[in-house]
Amino acid sequence: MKKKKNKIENNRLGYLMTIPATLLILLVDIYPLFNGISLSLQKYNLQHPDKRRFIGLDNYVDLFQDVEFLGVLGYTFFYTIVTVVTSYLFGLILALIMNRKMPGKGIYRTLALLPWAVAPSVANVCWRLLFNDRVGIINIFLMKIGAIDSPILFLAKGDIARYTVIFTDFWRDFPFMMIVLLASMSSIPRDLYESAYMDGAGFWSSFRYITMPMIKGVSAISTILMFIWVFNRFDNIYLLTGGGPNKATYTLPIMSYFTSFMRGNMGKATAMAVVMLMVMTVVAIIYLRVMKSEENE
Amino acid sequence: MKKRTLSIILSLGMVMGMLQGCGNDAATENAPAAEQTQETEPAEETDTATEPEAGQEDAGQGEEAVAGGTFLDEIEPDATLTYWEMQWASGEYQNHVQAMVDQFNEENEYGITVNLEMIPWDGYYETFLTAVTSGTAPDVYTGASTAPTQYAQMGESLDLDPIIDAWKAENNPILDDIAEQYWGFFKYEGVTYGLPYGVDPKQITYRKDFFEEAGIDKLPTNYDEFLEACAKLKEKFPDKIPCLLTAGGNEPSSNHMAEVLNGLNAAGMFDANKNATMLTDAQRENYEFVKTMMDEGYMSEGSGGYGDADVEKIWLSGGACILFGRSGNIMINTDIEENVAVLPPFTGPSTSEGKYCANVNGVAGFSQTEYPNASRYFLKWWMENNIQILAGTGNGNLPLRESYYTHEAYKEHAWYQETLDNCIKTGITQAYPMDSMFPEFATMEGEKVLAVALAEVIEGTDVETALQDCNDAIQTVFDDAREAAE
Repeated sequence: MKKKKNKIENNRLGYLMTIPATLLILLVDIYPLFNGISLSLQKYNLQHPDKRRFIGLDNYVDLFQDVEFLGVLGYTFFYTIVTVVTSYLFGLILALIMNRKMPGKGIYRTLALLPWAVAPSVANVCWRLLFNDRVGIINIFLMKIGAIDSPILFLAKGDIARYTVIFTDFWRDFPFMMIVLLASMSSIPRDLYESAYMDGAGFWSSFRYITMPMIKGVSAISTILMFIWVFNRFDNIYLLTGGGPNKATYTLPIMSYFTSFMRGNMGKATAMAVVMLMVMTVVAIIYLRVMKSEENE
Repeated sequence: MKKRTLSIILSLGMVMGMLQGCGNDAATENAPAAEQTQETEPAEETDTATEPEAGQEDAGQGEEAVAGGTFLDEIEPDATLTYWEMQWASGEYQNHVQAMVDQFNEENEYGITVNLEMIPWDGYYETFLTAVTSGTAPDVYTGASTAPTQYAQMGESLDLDPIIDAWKAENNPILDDIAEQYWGFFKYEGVTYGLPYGVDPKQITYRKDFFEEAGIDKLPTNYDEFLEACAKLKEKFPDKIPCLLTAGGNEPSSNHMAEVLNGLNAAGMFDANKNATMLTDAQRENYEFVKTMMDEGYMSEGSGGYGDADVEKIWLSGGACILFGRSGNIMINTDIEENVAVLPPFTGPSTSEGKYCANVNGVAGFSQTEYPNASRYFLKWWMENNIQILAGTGNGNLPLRESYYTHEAYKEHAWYQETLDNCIKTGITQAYPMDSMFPEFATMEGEKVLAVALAEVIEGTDVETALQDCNDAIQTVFDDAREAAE
């Protein structure tokens, strides 16, 4: 009887301890979530707060009839998927190299991590100068070695700028992939590779039948997390191109920002954010399922 | 099960953060109407031929002359005001502003205390908007040129006509010291919501030495002569950019070449009825001119991607011969200063007198203030004493008050006088052909809508399509604003 009472007391204390965190989550997550959803169902322009009213799903209907929004949505997926895939593949290659015994491995690892450690604002100022057609070192170098006849307009041409921003994001993200995958590879027992080697397996077979299966879970989780980060990312493009030239590098976070703060159209901007939330929710569900299957394994 | 539920909640929490910035609706629903101030009988305007010396205080002489009936009779005593000042310059600028505020706090006879807060330009738009909509706006501020009328439309700007009335009653020389075209700039529906004090000149500067070396002995006076000058520069200096400008990037500078073109050819991008007017002959001439410059290689192909830092690096390193659409003050106190001059505005085909664009900046207040008259008193004093935060402080604003240009800090660089004569005295404002700034301009400037035609022509789009796209983009901003007001 006394034991049961103690257990109840302990549970009560546990619940009491969660109250501050719960209140914080309610305040900074749950309230903004529902408030945001509520705003997306309203006509609400900051310039005309007196005209605020409920309009149902009109903001969503407008969005999905808006060719510009659909184009931006498409580019956001493209931007995200290409960034995540290239970051993963390059991170994987680097992790494979770093996982081998080699002199100066620590130095290489630190160097590879540098892009992740540089502040985005600093990095993007540097990128702007590097990509400049006249004084940028990239164009100067390529022209010196005869690789190009005229400068590449990395940021001035819309179709090139779309890839340029992907490249800078890839540069920032691959170190994360590398370090996560390297950590996962380090935990694979050496015996497995030695046994495989004794059985005549080469690099490719070992990679395919030992490495990949062993890092599968980490790969899935890290790519899903990175998808969420990149899909929501604002600073990379905003700092590098501001969404230009001529809106060529607009992604959903950029478009939502301009719609809310430049046009004052909070209703439409939050509708965009809710669309992003839906995408993220699907990705989060996949993430949870992967996590669960990992736990079961 | 509990563990699963907890994980779901935590994971959802992770993705919910994106909506956090969108949840601000406090205090906007019942935004107060613009403060109604007492109507005062304006004194008859009189000519004030005597110009004050630079830095001379106008306060005091006027106040003594006021017989009464102005807001000065009803100043709230012991008010505490919050003053937001933009980071107009780096380094010691904050100290200059603080010194001015300290002087006011010591000298004013009403016991008013002003607290200074410096606001960085990064994210200023959101900073102001969030403060206003959440009811935490400062009492007075300097800021973007679009702010006073934008917030006037929301009913959040402080009516400053009482200050104008008080100046008129005092016969204050400040009214003649600032060119007439600027006084109406911050009016919204006939009421003054901002006081013009500074200008960010948008003009053309050129390298005198390069012009001389290229054999250009007569400065261009029209579009054709300008193109001829560019041709000579290109021929003489094949590795330099004849005409350097920004047409992309994340800076408002993208809009400025369009604004300069408007002035040179008297071409508006919109009309008084708030409709886009990019499909006029004058605009067609402007962008054919740009296209010729592009086709002939007088501009860099990379212009569409330049930010301010790119332009500064190229210009200061001598990589270009003409700087288009910028004030040009970046060269002050550099090695190239003595070789740089302001090119007198040349004239487009559709007008008889080309002009530059003087982007006006102002000081203003918010109607949320508890102390409207104390705020006006400070603003009035601020306008009369602001030489100390303009001259020699690195402030990017040039003074609109012509008498200030006799100050030592403005006399020692020829560029200041050239800018006064070529841009400030005669320039159009960025709202041209409108007399006053209008709220939609903030959107156009922020989204670089004004630069759409320029960016497209530089990317190779034909002029008609570029003009149509720019026209549509401007019209969309107006239409969205109309729709929002319904």
